Amino acid sequence: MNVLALSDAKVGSTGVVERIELPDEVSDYLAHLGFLPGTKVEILRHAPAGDPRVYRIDGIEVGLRNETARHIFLTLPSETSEEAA
Amino acid sequence: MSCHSSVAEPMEETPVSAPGAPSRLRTVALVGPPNCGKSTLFNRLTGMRQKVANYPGVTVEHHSGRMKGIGRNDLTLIDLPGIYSLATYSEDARVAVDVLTGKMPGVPKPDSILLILDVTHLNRQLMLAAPVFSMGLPTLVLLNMADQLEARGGKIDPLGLARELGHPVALISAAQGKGLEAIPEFLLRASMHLDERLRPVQLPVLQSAASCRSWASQVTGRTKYQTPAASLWTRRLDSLLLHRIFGPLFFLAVVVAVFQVVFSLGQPLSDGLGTLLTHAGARAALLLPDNWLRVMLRDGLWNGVQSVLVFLPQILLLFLFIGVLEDSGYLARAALIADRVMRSIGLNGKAFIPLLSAYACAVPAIMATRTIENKRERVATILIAPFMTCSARLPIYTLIIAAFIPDQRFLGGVLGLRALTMLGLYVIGFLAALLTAKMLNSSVMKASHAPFILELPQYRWPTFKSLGFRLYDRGKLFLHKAGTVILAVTFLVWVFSVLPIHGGQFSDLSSSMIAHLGRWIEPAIRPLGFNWKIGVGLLSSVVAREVIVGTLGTLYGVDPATHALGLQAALRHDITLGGALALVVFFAFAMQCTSTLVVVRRETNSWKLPALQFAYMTTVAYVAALLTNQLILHLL
Repeated sequence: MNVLALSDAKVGSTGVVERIELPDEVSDYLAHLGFLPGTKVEILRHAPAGDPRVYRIDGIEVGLRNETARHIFLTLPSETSEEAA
Repeated sequence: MSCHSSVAEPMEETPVSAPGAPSRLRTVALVGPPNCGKSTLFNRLTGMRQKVANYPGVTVEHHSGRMKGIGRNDLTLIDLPGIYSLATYSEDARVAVDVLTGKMPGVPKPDSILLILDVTHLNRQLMLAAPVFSMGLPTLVLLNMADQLEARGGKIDPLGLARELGHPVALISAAQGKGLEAIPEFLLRASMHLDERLRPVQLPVLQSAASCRSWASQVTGRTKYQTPAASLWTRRLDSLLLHRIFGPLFFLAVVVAVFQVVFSLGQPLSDGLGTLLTHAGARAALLLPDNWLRVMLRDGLWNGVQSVLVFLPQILLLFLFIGVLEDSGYLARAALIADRVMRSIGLNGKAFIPLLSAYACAVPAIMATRTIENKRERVATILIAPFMTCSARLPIYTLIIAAFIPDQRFLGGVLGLRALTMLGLYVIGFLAALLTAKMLNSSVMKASHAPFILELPQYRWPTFKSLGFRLYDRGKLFLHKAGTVILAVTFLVWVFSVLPIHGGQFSDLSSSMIAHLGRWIEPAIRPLGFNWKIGVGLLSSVVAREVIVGTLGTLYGVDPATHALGLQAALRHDITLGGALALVVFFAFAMQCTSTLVVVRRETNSWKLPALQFAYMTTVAYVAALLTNQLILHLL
């Protein structure tokens, strides 16, 4: 188990939200989209320019800029982080 | 269960006789998260036509309507902007919460609620139920998009859910109009206070997102809710449309195709309509006695309005495209592709959707900025939105392009010079918006940027019905504008073109009051390549951009030198290529729209911003038109 920022997880990998370090109003909004500790999130794809990326969480797809995703942390079940690769 | 009613009631038995209390129910509010189909249902229930599309944040205001077809006609339904919770971070969410709590002036506090949730994402959507239930109003939970749930292999037990929630639940499809009979049944029961007998349920005490969420998951878990499989179509399409190379290419191809169709299909239609209208006008004129009345009707009323009416086909084609883009769900993908550009100028990606809708009209676009939480970014978006090429610029653009740009084709006839010129005008408007935003960002707009968080909706087929309604509404709006504002202004222009009256005779155009006014301002606009008629057109079109075409139609129709020519030929006869291009460049940048100024005033509560915007845009327009004309003069 390793913890890494959502923005660093590879496209195609799946992890579980561990914690979110963002101002209340942002994290509250994200929570209503499903970004809460314990929820599974899949890194689906990135926009043509590389950023934002699209995440699948709780049955929906959400686009986030890396500057936001950097403050969301995941636990990955296996070695799928970019550092590990 | 013996109950054959479509409403799944949380009680085991439903009493048949009701206490005959007179109904006190008056106002019903439609509540739900963004893009769950509230406005689609609202339109169904009231027979009205609020704008619906496939992206979050379409509705930013509250709308009221009388409910129809429910056996009584004293019920008002209020459609609200989508909300995730009762916390309010943006202006549109504040509207929703203010209406629900009775704080919105002029709107009665709702006494029952239709809570509409997208059943394909129930775990998440149910989070809103907790704060809504705790308001203590009779509430019917409508699980929308039931058709999609079934098609994608999801499952739900409405009765079990109703027991868990302590409120009645119904499965519906607002788009197909299925299951809606549950609503009058619920309203009947609510007005008889039957729901007071409901078993109170356990709601999360602390209504934070996390606790609402775990409550929602527990509820759906106990009712054996099965999340439907992700739509394969959406995923496959996205891996194509968001592809690194193909995605942006597709985006560009869509934009070019729109203009190409506006010309290659729209122009012949428009020419045909023009011929038809001219003949109809000539026929009608023959029926009238040959006196001042005929002259007034033909020159004062018909000529101006007719020159604007011929653009109806192009306007409708443009809106057909916009409709397909909005209803299919592609718009949100376009926002994702464009985010990189938006960020480089310091704008929130969320500004993209209001800016895109400004391609139809700046007024709803400026209202749509309510979804932007950050105040300064909202003001920046309001300031740049009118630079986006709205449909009101289409008549003058197509008129000038058809008159002055040759119909040259490239790439085997697929791509035309006219469509490219049009694309160029859209691009310069967009660039002006970018540069203005960049300027604001580096000087006044230094604020922390709200994050870009965009929910991507599932792709859906646009329905013929929805597209048809859009075109019908747009066509009606255009005809209405032609018959009111444009008619009134061009008639005034005509009146001043025949005044003063000498010895019972209308004066010649060259000695009329309007010519005097025109010649008085002519020195200021001559460097731009404009004559006094264009000058009068510019002044009159401060009211609305389409008016310029009406004014030119009227003036050239009165002028003995050009009255036998069509408007295109008359313009070619009267101004140079430089002047013509300067004119469309002027329109690309100028704020020729009273409605926009009024809506900016309303949204910002002061005349400061609209006044600044008008002065700034007019200056940019003047300088750019001047440069265009001088450049072409020196090049040719």
